Amino acid sequence: MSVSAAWRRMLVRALTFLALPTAAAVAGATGEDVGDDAGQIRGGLTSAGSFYVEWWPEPETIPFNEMFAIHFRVLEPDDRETAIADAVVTANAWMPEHNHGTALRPRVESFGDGTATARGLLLHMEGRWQLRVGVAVGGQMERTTFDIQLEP
Amino acid sequence: MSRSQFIENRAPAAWYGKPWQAALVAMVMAANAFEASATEGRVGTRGAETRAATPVIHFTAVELRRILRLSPLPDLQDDPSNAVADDPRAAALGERLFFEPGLSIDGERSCASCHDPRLDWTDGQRVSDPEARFPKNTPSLWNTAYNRWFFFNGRADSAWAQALGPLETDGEMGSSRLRTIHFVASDPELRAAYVDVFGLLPDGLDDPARFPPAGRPIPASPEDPLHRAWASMNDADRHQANMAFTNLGKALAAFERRLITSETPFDRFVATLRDTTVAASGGGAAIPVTEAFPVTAMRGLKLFVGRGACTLCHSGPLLSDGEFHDLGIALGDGMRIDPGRHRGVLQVLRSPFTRVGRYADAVVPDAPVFFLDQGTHQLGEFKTPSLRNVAGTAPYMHDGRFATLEEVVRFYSTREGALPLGHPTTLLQPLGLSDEEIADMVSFLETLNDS
Repeated sequence: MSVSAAWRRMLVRALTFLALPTAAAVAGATGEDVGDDAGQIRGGLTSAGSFYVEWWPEPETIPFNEMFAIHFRVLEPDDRETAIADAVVTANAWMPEHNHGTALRPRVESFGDGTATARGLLLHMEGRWQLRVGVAVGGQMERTTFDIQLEP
Repeated sequence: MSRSQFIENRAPAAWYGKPWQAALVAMVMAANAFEASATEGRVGTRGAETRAATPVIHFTAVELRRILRLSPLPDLQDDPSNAVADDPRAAALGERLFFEPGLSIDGERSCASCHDPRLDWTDGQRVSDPEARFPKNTPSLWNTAYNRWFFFNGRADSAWAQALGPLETDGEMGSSRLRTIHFVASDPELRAAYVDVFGLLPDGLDDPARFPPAGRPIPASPEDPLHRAWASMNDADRHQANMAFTNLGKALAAFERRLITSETPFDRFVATLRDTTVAASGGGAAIPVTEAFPVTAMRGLKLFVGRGACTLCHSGPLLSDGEFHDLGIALGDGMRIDPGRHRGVLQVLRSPFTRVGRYADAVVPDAPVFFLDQGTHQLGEFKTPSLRNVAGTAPYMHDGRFATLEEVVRFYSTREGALPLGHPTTLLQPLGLSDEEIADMVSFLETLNDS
């Protein structure tokens, strides 16, 4: 990670701290969400704003009660283009109204270039799920969640 | 205009198959034209002369989408872990084995003793073995090939691995893999059928020093003669024996793969719905009642996909999500709590007979077992049973505690006797159904039978 990138991250974190209550109120999570239509890339800031996480499922539409994968890209939060190469991603899904997670434990592989893929996801009940994503860079770990509405 | 003229003018029977289906299509169109007067969840009637006697039930768009997902049964997917899954010779061998009492230790029980085709492939008993540590009701084998997991606790991940379990379970067939292989080898017909499908039996099988007459691994009882016999063999011969044993399981699975339910009244109802503009519109609709799908069943269906929230677990064409849930009923006879899925996960992870193990004909890299892990939430969870042909598979639940479908629905209505759940949920609440609504739900469930 370059020095300038670290400074940028600190600045973004400070700004995010000030703006966090508003952002959380808007997105219902820790970061904004940019669309949920099939085939679209969704993304948001992590809890302290140090990272921007993009994700998209494979297949493009999350299937009901069938296994699927999710691909991630971890980016610098200011430009949302520069990949954070040493980011390590963790992910799982949670069903708040039912208080349980997925029947399977997804395995996430981080590729060392800012990208990662989670395999073994399976959402077996319709309703609201949360995709919970953790990002670790060096000794710093932040997380974010994205709502997934699995309709019949 | 007479009804027949109406049908002829608006919806020719040739479009929709049977005449009653055509009638339903026509009535849906008519009913939707007057949808504004429909009352959700209640039977209504129409004021217009030609529609006066046609009761309808209003379904929301979400309810209709849920209904459409329940039917039809899709084509079976390939099972790469069983190379003979669709081989008719393997199915014939499997059928022979399925009805063969000689595979049991006492020569009196076959697979069919518990999975009786005359009883929808169940035994009609509350539990198959009352002396078992955690007694279980016998699941039906209908549509078993569609399953992701097998047994109520999911301790197998393939039909062929499931088939091996009862052969070596005391209180069921009580045999051992070595005895089973020797039995097949000693029967000229079975031996010939085996060789035809799988090739030669294990080399050296006739040598009792290498292949004792009976034996199986029982790690918890190392002094058991069966375990000692198994432990006396060398690794290569144990592998040969396991190969032959799993081949027999694969033949049984090939037979069971053919036990597919046929079209039900509910399937015909959904097929007609799918053919109408109702499904395509994406909105709610007032659906007319027909003789083939009576008003009680329609009201029950409305509850099933609506207020009852049954499709949270009983979803998809099997009317089961194939996964495991805690209903608060793990406490069984003798105040013993059945660990359910928690134990099943441990067993399948330890089993050599999985779709990612060395006895799978082709390992499936994304097989669900590869991503399986134990968790405390799995305690007391049991697999959601399919509801296809459910009316013929009493008694119900993993321990057969309910004798009738009415008792099952009444349980969901009151949740009387249920323990607190392992994970608090806002989704599983007493439904508070009236007696009429319970009867309606049962009426709907009876339309899931193909007989």
